[in-house]
Amino acid sequence: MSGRRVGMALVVAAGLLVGGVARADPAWIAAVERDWFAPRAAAFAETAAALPPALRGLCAAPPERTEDALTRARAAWRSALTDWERLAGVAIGPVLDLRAQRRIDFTPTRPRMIEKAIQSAPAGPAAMELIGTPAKGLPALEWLLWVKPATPDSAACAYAVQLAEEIAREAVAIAAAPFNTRPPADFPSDLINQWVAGLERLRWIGMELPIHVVTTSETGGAPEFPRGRAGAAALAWAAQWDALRALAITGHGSLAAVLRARGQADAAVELADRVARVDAALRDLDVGDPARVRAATGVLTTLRHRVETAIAPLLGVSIGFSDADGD
Amino acid sequence: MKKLLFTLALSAGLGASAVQAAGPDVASVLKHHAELVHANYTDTLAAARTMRAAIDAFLAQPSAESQQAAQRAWRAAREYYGQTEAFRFYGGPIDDEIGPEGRLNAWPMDESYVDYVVGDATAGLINDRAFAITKQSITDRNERDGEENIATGWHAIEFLLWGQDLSATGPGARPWTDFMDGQAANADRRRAYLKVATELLIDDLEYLVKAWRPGSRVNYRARFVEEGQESLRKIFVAMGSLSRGELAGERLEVALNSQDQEDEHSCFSDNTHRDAVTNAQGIENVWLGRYRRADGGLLTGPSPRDLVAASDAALAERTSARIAASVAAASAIQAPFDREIIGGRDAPGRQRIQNTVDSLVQQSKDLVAAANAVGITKLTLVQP
Repeated sequence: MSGRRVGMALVVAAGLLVGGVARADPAWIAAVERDWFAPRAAAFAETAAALPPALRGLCAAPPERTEDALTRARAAWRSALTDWERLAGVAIGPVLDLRAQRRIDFTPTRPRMIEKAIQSAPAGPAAMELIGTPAKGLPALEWLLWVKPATPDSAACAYAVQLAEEIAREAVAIAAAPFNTRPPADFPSDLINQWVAGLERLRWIGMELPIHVVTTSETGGAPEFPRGRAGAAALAWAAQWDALRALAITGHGSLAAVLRARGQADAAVELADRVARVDAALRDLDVGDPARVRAATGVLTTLRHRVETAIAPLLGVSIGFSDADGD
Repeated sequence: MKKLLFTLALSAGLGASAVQAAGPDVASVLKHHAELVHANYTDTLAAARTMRAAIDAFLAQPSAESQQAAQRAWRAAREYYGQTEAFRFYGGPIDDEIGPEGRLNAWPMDESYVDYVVGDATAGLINDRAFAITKQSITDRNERDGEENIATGWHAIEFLLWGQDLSATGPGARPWTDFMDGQAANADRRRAYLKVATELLIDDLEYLVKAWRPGSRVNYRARFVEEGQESLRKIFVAMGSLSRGELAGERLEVALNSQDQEDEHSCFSDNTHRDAVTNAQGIENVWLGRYRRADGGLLTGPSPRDLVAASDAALAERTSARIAASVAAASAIQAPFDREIIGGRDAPGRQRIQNTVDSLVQQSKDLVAAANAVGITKLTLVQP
């Protein structure tokens, strides 16, 4: 029996529906943790751990090595960002429990708060607790690496090290935390609703809103996509999509696997087809081509609609509320 | 609010009709809900008109006393408006594509867009004498070129009444002399701006009252009460969206994380703690079909709770208890909110806010279960 079939059998054995409502399903939870969460959390912990030494290297760099050190720090940030998005693209488990998105990925970052934080020269976790999240996390570090690059031996560089260390601490905490602390019966609903919220974060916040702002503004200009300061907008889109895609169709805990296990093979095939269309729409997407970006958001919308109206009911899940609601 | 247009997901997402043992029918719940909405907007409009009278008196004869009277009237009117926010988030009159929500309650506000601030004595539309102050012109400027470019609504009026909040312990302290010719630059324009912004707010509230007025065959209310289960779905969408994404998220948790006054809803007046309570109260009003009128009367009638109770009494009871707990938790948040959010994880104020967030998040889940009990399975909103 192949590994895949083992996983499917586990899902089948768990029994997913009672009277149309998803019930406790330890095998599904275990599969998502093993195949999706654990490797992604570990990857983020590893690349986040590389941030502090890279930043320390920048702060200690002699003038003739500053450029190289900045390049290395930027590369470390891009690696950490990629693994963060591959994990936080669907905020489930510890990412949700620890409110990690708000803690280390508050957007947009607030430069005036960064400047104020630099002046206060915090050192260590307790002092960093008193700094507001708009001045912390990956976006603030992006600011200090690209917009106003911290220079060696500066207060800004010392603060950047503190940011990097906090991100690394958060990554360790995420990887070490128990994956599911909620009632198992809530898992299907949490998973699918957070998946939809993740898709909306990619589609609306990441792609369409910046275009909407420009097209409704009198001043015009180029869309300011998240991570654009680092030239990493497309990188972030791809990583977020990787998180969504994997939970949709890859591995034993994916929606497609669960659908097949429930005898809904046709729905699984259709889901895979919709995912493939998004793959094509996002492939080699260029931030300088807003028309194509907008077209891609349309394909994402179609996928979301399908998951909400067809997949979720098949899995006994009601589409409810998430942090993405409100305005 | 950080204004974006919202549209409903196209699909109604209605499940099979729930089997109800007893209790009201959907039509009676919708009819009473419409009555409640109208009553709440009517009280808000009346309170806003009282505020307008106080502002007119202040502008006619500026003094510390008349300024404080206007401030009190603003706070009093907000008590009613805050409860109406439970009627948002489903593309109704308040926030459909032409709805006035963005004019009424947009936040956070870059105050320098309207008037002077510390460090920039000539900032804002008031100090730009080439800018004609009219309802239309400030409407046109509202949120132009940036979500924080707020030119209208409760918070623009709040800023003009209180000024920047530069105090660690109290609200803004705008001198009343800002409105006196010869004592502050452009006092005439400041008076005009406050008056026009107030009139515009009244117009928008009148529009909402009209949309929900009984007896019309063509207004929103007439359609709402005819749309059965879809309108019931909207009621649940409103309660859940305000509970989680907006109140627990944008208004409380973001501020908790940012520890930044910028994320305080009514930052100039330090009235944010009351915003949280009135929002939570508004949700409870809708759930219970109960609303305390401005005249002290209690409006009661068939409610979503009653419908749910007919299917699952225990669930209805649990949801009622959770919603009441959220109101109590919000009531425990102390003023000023901008100090309550400061500190480490164990700071008492932060814990009070976190308790409210946690209760509201659980409440949103209970509301999903409650909606399921009456046959509603899809409660999401999506951005355009």
